[in-house]
Parts: sequence; structure tokens; C-alpha cells
Amino acid sequence: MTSDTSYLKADEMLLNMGPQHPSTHGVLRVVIRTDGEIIRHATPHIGYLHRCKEKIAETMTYPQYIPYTDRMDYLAAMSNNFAFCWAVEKLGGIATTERAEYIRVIVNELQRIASHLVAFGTYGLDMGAFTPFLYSFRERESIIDIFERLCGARLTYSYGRIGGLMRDLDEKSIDMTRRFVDDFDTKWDEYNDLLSNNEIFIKRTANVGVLPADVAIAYGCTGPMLRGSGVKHDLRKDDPYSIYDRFEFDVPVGEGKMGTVGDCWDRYWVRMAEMKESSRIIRQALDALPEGPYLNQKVGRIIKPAYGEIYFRAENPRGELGFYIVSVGEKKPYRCSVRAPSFCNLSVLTEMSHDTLIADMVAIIGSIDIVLGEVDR
Amino acid sequence: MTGALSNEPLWYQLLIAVIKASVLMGALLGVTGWLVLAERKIIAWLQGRPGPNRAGPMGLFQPVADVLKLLTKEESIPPFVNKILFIAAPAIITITAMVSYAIIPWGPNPVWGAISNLNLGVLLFLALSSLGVYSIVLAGWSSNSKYAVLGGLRATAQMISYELSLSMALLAAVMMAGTLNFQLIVEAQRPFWFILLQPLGFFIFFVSAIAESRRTPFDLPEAENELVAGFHTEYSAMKFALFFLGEYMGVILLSGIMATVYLGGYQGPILPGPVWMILKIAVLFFVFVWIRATYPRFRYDHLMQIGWKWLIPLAVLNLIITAVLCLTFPNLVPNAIH
Amino acid sequence: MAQNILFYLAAVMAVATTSMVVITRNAVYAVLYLIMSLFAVALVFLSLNAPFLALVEIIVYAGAIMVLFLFVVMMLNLQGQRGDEATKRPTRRQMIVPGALALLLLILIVVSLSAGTPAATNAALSDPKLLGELLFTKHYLGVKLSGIILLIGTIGGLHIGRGGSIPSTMEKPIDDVTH
Repeated sequence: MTSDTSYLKADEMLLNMGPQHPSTHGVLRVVIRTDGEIIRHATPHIGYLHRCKEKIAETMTYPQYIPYTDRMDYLAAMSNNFAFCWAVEKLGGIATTERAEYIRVIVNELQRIASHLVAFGTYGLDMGAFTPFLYSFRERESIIDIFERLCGARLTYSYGRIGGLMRDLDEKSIDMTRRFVDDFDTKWDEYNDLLSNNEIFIKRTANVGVLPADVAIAYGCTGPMLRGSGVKHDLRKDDPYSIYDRFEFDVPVGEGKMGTVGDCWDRYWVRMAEMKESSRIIRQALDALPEGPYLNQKVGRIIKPAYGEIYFRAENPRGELGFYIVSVGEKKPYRCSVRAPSFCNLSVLTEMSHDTLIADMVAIIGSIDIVLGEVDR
Repeated sequence: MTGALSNEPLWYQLLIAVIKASVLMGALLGVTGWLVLAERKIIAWLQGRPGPNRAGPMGLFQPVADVLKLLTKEESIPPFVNKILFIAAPAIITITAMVSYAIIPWGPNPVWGAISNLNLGVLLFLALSSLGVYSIVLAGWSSNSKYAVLGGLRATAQMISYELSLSMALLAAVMMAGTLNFQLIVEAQRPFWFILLQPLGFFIFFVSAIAESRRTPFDLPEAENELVAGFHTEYSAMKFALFFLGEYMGVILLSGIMATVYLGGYQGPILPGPVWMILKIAVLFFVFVWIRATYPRFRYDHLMQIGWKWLIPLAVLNLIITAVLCLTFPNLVPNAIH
Repeated sequence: MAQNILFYLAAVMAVATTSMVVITRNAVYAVLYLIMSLFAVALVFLSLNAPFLALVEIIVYAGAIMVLFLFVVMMLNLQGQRGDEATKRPTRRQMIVPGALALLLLILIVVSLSAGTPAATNAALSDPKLLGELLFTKHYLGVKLSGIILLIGTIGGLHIGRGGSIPSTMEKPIDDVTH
């Protein structure tokens, strides 16, 4: 930090939150100018986890790059895998199998629940409530058990394959998934009793960090951030990809139930409601799951898409994850750019945290639900 | 001031005081470690996980391991701190908490029931609890670090505010008992425990007690998600342990005061007085832990609002109601001042 | 006997620490010395058989008022010693008036002490019940007046403390509602 503090006004103090701070969710560093407890200005500093993901893509064949996508949004590695696979499939005109698409949807929605569970748990933790965190991790554990059965890994799965999947979803996994989905609804009510409807929690989050819809759109916020501000925008509905148009589900948006539309509680609630919708989708997908191969065997290890470019976007737990891939007809992409939802969502932090309290700052960062691995890539 | 012994020689009075104090202090210091374990076990149980279970059967030796670790750790005093106050701060909170135990009655015996059967016991308790604030203020200031200062400021404002409602709630009970002596307050509860006559007072005292001991949902001074560790950010090893000890002793002390003033103290059938006292303290301690496992943390301004806009007016109201009650129903509380 | 020893020890401590309040140049230390001095005075009360006053002194002065002092001083010190005026050693000319005043006080104390010690300790000083009765009967007006002064102080404080922007997420303080 610069030692020149002359630009500070009389009663202001420069506070460095992070990169090692318990509630910046990773290695985010926020430099805040405070007047006592009141934040006058906050500047997020990023880049502590930058690993040149996009540049690395240029030296990798398409299938080789799949494990790298895991490590961007490591709380939703499955969704990243699939988004990349879908992008390459679209670029190369590669067909997948029916069963693979269904399994992808099931796993994608399970991943969404797992990711939102982490968001819910850590948000409780940010608010000083310790118990929701452990409750949510208990449920996340069962999802991870399913994933472990599918691919052997518990965090970075690399489960997607171009043209299908790495392994099939066996009977036992289907059973586990069904049991989880049935169980989850009661657990979901428990969460609401514990945290969502808690008076203190509502006081901490309602009317805090209000993000108006126009600002959210101007900053390119997506996912629960945008929907929390009352904009009904979900790529699964508005730009359907894969087989999402076959399922029936609602898109929850912030309604200002506890305060203003677009406050922290709305964003939090959108995530909670989305978990419920995801379990609805999983149920439908499980019922309609067709038999057949899980991988298009015609797809080889070397993929050479024709000369061209593609921008594919998928609705990740954190928002719109976009892959922009340019192919010059070689086995490696010429350029691969990633539109990370966390990065765009984080950019609005300065706007939201103006004239709030330090405690609100924690509430706001938590409600953005960033993953620094994705912000920095 | 120990009335029953005032005719005995000074050395005898001192000897008895020293014996009583050593027994109690030994018990307290020994028990605190296991209370921490109890808290961790209870929270673990509430959160559906096993809790500490490695050291000894069911983790029973965990406190020994913790203390050994804290004792053998390197004491780090950062170069930028104000050394004298940095060292003094953790001592103050432990000392004030320990001294306060002198006035808690454990039995009806005027000599052995309490370390000091002080006539102005309630005042001594208030005086010592108000001094505990210095520990945190000085820790925050002498650490010379921003998070510590913010934590110190929060703690000061919080503790001063909640001390008011705490004292006023206590005052209403004192009014009913007609004495400032804790033992006599217990005796005044022979017909009814004061929790029945003072439900509002008990509630106010309980909420203020949580705030005074800086525990969830009032743990803002050490809010780890906002201020890293608040006022004890720079502390390590035994000095940190002293803050911890002070906090736990404060919790037990406040539970003890609540048990004494509202739950009939050492009174109870069959079992001897001290056992009842310990049981009552344990129940209150459990509630403290339970609340910690359930609630999120308040925000600074909400905390102040609750303190000043709700608790203090309520406490004043309670005081007025109590005064009216004491005057209109003299038979209900025979000891009250008329 | 023991009480006499206690009295003189406490008295010496009170004088010493109070002098340190004036002498020390660190504002925080000054406040801490003042707290110690208040403790010493409380001890003096205790040695004079007035435990009630002693404890009230600690609760009110050491426990509440001085914490606020420390609070304010801490905030100032955080900004670094910018107010150099306060920490500069006073010049000889600046010391004339306070010195004269101190001398006058000393003379007054000596004169009044030599005129005979005041009446022996009052029973009301140790018994809160008696003290309360006295306050609310004989000294009724004084209690009322001090209450009014406190009220004025509160209103004044509220008036001075008002102002500055309030975070949007915070509820408006009471006094802003009327404006």
C-alpha cells in the first residue's frame, strides 16, 4: 500500500481488507477508505490467483484443456467442464448422445445446488452464524459423494468429454441422486428456519447493498446478481442450450420481499429459490433419462474444428460463463477467451459499497458470491 | 466487612479468606478448560459433527493439550505496540473477572457461603464489570493496528451501553430484595424466585449479559469476518489465552449472578447449595452456547439501537413497575424498601 | 490502625498519580493516571468507612466517565500527534497563572485543615438506604438541579454531535426525524 495518505480527509482511515482476510472469500484484496465504521470508498484489487488460463489454452488440444476449466470456478467445476464441452461441440459441429445430455443436465443442476450451498453456508458464516455453514456442507457432501462415484474426484472433476462424458451414471448413482433430491426439500426448509427468516439476518441483509436493475445491467452482472435485482434473465430459458427447453422450471427473481429490490437478501433468496428449482429439474431429468451410450464414440482425441469462431454461453451458478474460441483449423485453439461471471459481478462492488458500514461490506462481498479462481483465471 | 467474623483476629479473617479464595480459584481455573471443551462439544452436537475427539477418550484431554500448546507457544509482542499497556490489558480482564467471584454466594453459611459476604456486593460487581472495559480498550489501542482499534472502539461503545441496562435490571431486583448483599438477595427469594417476579428484568439482564461478555450475537468486537480478530488481533500464546479465560470467566460469572439474583441462587431441594448453584450456572451456560450456535451477528448500529432504544427504556419501565409493585403489594416482597 | 495506614498510602498515591496526570505528555497515560488517582480516592473513602461512596466513585468515574475520556483520547491519538500544542513543554510565562492558582489552593487546604478536621464520618456515607433518604428529602433540590444540568448536557451533546452524512443502510437517528 502506498504510504502517502495525504489525500485522506481528516477523520478517514485506510483499511486493507485482504488478501488474507476471512471474509473476502479467497485472495481478494479490498482497499477501503473508512470514516470510523463507514466506508467512503472501496477498491477491489484482483490478480492474486492469476494463472494465465486463457493463454494456456493456446498451447493445449481441446480435450487437454478440460481439466483447466475445473480450476476456474472450482466450486462449480462440472458446470465449467460442460460449458467448455458445449462450446467446442458447437464450434466443431460435434454431436453428443441423448443420454449424455440428460446426465449433463442432472450433474449441472446438482453442481448448481452444491455451489449455492457453499454460497449459503459461507454467507451465514460472514454474518456470524456458524451453524448454517456446517449444515450446508453436510448436504454438499452427499452431492460430492455422487460426483466421486461418477468420476473419482471430489472437487476438480474433469467429468465432461467432448461429445459426451467420461463415465456413465450407474443405477447406484441414480439412487443416490433421487434420495438426495427427496431429502433436500426438508433440509431446505430447515435452512430457512435457521437463517433466511432470522430477524437478525434480515436486518443485516435487507436494504443493504442495493443494486438497481439498470446498474446491474450496465456493469454486466449476470446470474443471481442480476436476477436478485428483479431482472428475469436466465440463459437456460432465454437462450436455451443443451436440452434445457425440455424441462419445466421457474426463474426466481428478487422481489424486495424483506426490503428493497436488489438488496443482499434478494440475491441470497434467489440462490435459495434456485436450489429448489434445480431439484425440480433433476427430478424431471431423472424420470426422462433415456438409455443409450454416454459418449459419442466417433469423436477422437484430436479435434480439428473448421476455421471459425464461436461464443458459447451457459448459465453457471454464478452467472453467464462464456467461452469465446477461435479456431484456425488446428488441433489447438488459436484463441480462447473466458467471460467469467464472478469477474463482472465483482466489478460492481465499488458502486454498491459506497457509504455503507464495514459489516455491510462483508454482507455485500458475500452476496456477490465470488470465486477468486474464476475472477483471476 | 465480613460481619460474622468481625470479632475474630485479623490473621484469622485473612486465613479464612485465603483458603476460600484458593479453593474457588483453583476450581474455576481448572474448570474453565473443560468448559471450553463443553462448549465445543455442545456446538458440535448442535451442528451434527463429533467435535474434538482425538485427545483422550471423547476428547476429554483436549483442554490439557490446549493449555500446553498455549503455554509453550512463542509469545510475540509486535514491535509497533505500546509494550506496557499491551501486557497489562489481558491481565485486567482476567483479574476483574476473578475478583468478582468473591461476592457470589455458594451456600447459606455466612462465613463459608461466599468469599466475601459483602454488604455492597451488587455495587462491587458493577464496579468490577465496568472496569473490564479497560482491558479491551487498552488492548485495542496499544496494539496499534487498525483492526484492533476498530474492535476496541466497538467494544467500548457496546459495553458502556449495555452496562446501563444491565445495572438497571439488577437494580429492580435489588429493590425487591431490599439489599445489596447477594446472600440476602438469595434469602429474599425464599417465597418466589425473582425470575417469576422479574421476568422482564431477567430478560433484559440476560440480553445485556450476552452483550457484556461479547458473545454471539453481540460478538462484534472480535467479529472475525469483519475485523479479523478485533481487539486481540495482535495477541498470541498466553496473552491471548488470558483474553479467552477472561471471556469464559465472565460468562460463568454472569451466569452465576443471574442464578443468584433471578434463579434462587443456592436454593433447591435435597441437593446441597453449591450443587444447585453449579447446576443453575450450567443451564445458563448451555443457553449461552445454544444462542451462539443459532444466531448471526448484529451490525454495529443495530446493536446500539437495541441497547439504547429498547433495552434501556425497557429497563427504566421495569424499574418503575417494580417500584409500584413493591409499594402496592408489600406482602409479595416482604424485604423490599417501603 | 490498619485503616490509618490505608488512608495515608491511598492519599500519597492519589497525590502522586494526580501529579502525573499533569506532568505526563502522553494523553492516554494521563487518562490512565487519572483513573489510578480515582482509585486512590476510592481507597481514601474506604479507609474513612464510606464503602458506598468508594464503590460509586469507581462505578461512575473510573467505570463510565473515564472510559469515555479514554475513548476520545484514543481516537485523537490514532491520527498521530498532530496537535503539537498539547504536547509542547509549557514556557515559564505560561506556568505563572496555573502555578499561582495551585498555590492558592494549597494555602486554602492547609488553612482549612489546620482549622480543625471536619465532623466524623457520617453514617449516611456507608449505608445506601440512609444516603438515599437524605438525597431525596433534605437534598431534594440539589438532585433535581443536577438532573436538569445533565439533561441540558445531553441536549447540547446531541446538538453538537449531529451532522455528517449517515450511511444509507443505517436508520436515521432520532433527532433527524424532527428536522
